[in-house]
Amino acid sequence: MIRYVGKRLLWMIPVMLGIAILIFSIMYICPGDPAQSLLGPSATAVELAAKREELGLNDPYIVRLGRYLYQTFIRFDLGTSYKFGTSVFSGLMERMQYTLVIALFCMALQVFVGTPLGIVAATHHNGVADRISMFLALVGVSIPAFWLALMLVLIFSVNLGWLPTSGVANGIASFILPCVANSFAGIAAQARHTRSSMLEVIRSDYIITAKAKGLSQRTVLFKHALPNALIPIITIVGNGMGMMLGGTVIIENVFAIPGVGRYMTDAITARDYPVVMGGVLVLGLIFSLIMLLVDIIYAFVDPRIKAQYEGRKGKK
Amino acid sequence: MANKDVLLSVKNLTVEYTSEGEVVHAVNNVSFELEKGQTIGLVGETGAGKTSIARAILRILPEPPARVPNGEIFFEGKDLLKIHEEEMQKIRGKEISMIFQDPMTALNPIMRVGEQIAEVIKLHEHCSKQESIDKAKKMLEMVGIPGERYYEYPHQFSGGMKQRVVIAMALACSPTLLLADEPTTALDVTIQAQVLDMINDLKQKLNTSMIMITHDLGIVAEVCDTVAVVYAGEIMEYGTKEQIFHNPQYPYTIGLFGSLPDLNSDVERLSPIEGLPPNPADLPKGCAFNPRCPYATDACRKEHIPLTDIGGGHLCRCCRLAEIAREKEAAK
Amino acid sequence: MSSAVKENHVGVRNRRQGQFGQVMHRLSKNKVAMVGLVIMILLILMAVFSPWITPYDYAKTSKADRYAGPSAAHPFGCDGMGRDILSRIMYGARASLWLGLMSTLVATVIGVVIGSLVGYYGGKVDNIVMRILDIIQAIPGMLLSIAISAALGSGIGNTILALSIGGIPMTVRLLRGSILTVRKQEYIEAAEKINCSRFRVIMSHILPNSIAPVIVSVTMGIGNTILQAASLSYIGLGVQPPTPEWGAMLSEGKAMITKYPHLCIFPGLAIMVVVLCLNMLGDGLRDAMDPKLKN
Repeated sequence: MIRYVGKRLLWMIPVMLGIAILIFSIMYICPGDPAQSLLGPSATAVELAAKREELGLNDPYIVRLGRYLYQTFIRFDLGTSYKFGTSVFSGLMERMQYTLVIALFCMALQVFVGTPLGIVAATHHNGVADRISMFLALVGVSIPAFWLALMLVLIFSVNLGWLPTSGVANGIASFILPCVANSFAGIAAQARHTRSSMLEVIRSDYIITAKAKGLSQRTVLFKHALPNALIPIITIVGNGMGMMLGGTVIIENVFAIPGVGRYMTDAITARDYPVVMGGVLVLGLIFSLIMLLVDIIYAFVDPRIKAQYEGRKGKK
Repeated sequence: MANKDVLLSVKNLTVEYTSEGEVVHAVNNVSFELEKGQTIGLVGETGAGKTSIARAILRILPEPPARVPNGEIFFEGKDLLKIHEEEMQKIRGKEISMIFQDPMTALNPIMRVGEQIAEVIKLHEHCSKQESIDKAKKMLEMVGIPGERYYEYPHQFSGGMKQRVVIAMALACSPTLLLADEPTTALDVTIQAQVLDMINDLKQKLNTSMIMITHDLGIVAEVCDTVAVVYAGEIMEYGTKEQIFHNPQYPYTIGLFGSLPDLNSDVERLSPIEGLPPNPADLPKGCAFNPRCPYATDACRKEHIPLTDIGGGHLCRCCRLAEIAREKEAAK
Repeated sequence: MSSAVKENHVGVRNRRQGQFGQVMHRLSKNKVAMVGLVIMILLILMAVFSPWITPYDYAKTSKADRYAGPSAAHPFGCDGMGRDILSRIMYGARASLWLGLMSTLVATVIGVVIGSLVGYYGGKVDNIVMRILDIIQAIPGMLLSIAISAALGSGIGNTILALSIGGIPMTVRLLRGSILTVRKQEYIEAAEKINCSRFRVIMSHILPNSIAPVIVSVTMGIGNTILQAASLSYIGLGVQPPTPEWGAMLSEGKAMITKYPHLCIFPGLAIMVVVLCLNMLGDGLRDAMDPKLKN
């Protein structure tokens, strides 16, 4: 097991390198001139040329890529923001708290609201509760998050005046609408997956075995069906985390939250490449770590997978 | 058959499945009785409705799509189809238990093997956790698995061992009736024999009655006292093992024996039963076997034929018995 | 399930032509899916014929109607330049639907080609391709689309490309997984033993038997892509004003949302209706292809 985790952690190094090369190349072909957007429209040609030279923008692709990789992976330095002139890493860390709070809170909502909804739907299969919750879930996965956010602001902030429209000045209250808007689709997806996984498990032979033992409906459902049904759901939760991290980029824009997403979208508009690249790398790293965590959790809940990690020595 | 020691009496049991608007008639008006300590064999091809009969007795049919529109199942004087679910839960696993067909999928993959046995013991014998663990280990040993493998998971067991676990689970509370649904089909022939011996032994020891579902006549010969030949959800022929084996009357039963290799006669080819089992959603009119029956006449295609006693409790659902007998005579 | 029913299903599964008919038959019985399909067809027709059927010219501005609320003349009201929102939504369906359909199609075609090759050949190629996909998938999808969209610039073609790249890995994985299962089946071995060409084995034996999960994910994917496209336009990437695209319309309207909520309500509703219909259809298709998942 430890060997497996070690291998996965080692594997993360080439993945990070790959992400760096990928995002660097994407930024390389980006149209627009960072020097221009830094100095503004009034800058002269000479000033622009000097700035470009200073930023190293005149070097060929391979030299710039090499320099970036060296700086990132050998010196562990994500560089300096063109726009702010400050360290990208500290810029990201300052803003990370908001992004992580939203993403984690959304995850919690997805897991703790979505899963029970799915279970209720599955246990009342084809009943009223099932139909209503599945209709809501279907609507949930179909609503654009940013539009839902706008509508929530319209209702709860503008009309009712209960919650702030934007910013982070009001503590927890500032995060309620962003989290609800960002997690709505996740909750709905979680409920749908839980339900279908549960329905599939309920039909398994071992559930009939459990029933044939004389166990009550409740025990069959919660002791035998649910643990098996939740195993595939773990992947959904992991992927959901990726969606939440990506989703916060949009939501932070809607609610003007100074998080990593906002930092990055602003950087894209301003052609502040180090910030964009650094942000993608850090978010990619977080996401990879979460996926590793998901796989480790798998091993703990499913003895078959654990045996696989340990090299099938238990197989007889 | 009006015996005093009847344990189970199934009367006019019917099971239907609804699938995409079609009604599939899996079991049609099946009736039979089983005495204490006896074993009845339900014999027939895959899809004949044997498993549905067993599951209906234990009330573990998936409902929906399955439905039991009519029938009575008397077990120790109670109609199992009428009693409350809670009461049924006390019977399942304790009074009546079942051995399932496919050992590979019958065990919960993420629960320790022993726990799955201990669970049923603890539930019905109301003992402490430790007692249930000890007894589960004993049950494992009884089916030939070392007790220390209690803590392993199903994926660490081979198919034959899993089947033993399923059997241990079924026998853990010494049931009065055991439903064995093709308990050996998924196993190698050598293990088949072991498992059968084991079931026979345990049955003797615990004086359990059994319904043996199989398509293997060899198994029937080894363990059954009476035999019911099931075809398209109906009992076509019913009698003691001797009656069925020595004097099969129904054309389908005759066909079943005809498709077995006979070591005493020197034949080039086996004679299979021509054709395929009927689609249970669209059963033929009259006798369900008529499209495949070499003796079928217009009468067989028109009217449903009743099950009639042809002597000594040997029942058969055929109106051409005289002709068949004559032909058999002529063949000799 | 009774063995009787199981056998019944096995009997029909082997006939491919019959299987397609069966899926369509089952789908046609699913009311929810049919509602989704009918609305989708109507929406597509609306998009195609929008130049002739919109009540107003989608680009015609009118000073008098600036920010006009919903009325009999303008059921969805007018935007900040006095353009009729209903007409813009009807015309905007072209861009939004086209984006969703084309991005998914491009992603699917590329994904299916790569997926069937790595799934069939396996080995080193499989290893390399899957590792590259690992890298792409380690970046949250929305983030990748934003970055690529920024690099390629705005416009429908570039947005399609930006959205489809993010969708490729999932299709490859789905198809590869499904092919790996099918590959082990004996009929593939049989086809190889009778000297079918590799191309033929892939095209007529492996793909038809492993494509079902891809078809379902494509249907669902279109809806998802439309959502992503709208998000991109909303943050000022992707399709940009004055092109009438639903996400772009929302982006234009958001500044005035507190005063004139109708600027945002209707384009958002349009997105929701389309995605909802596609999901209804996708759900139905999934149930129809895999009847055992139902009940």
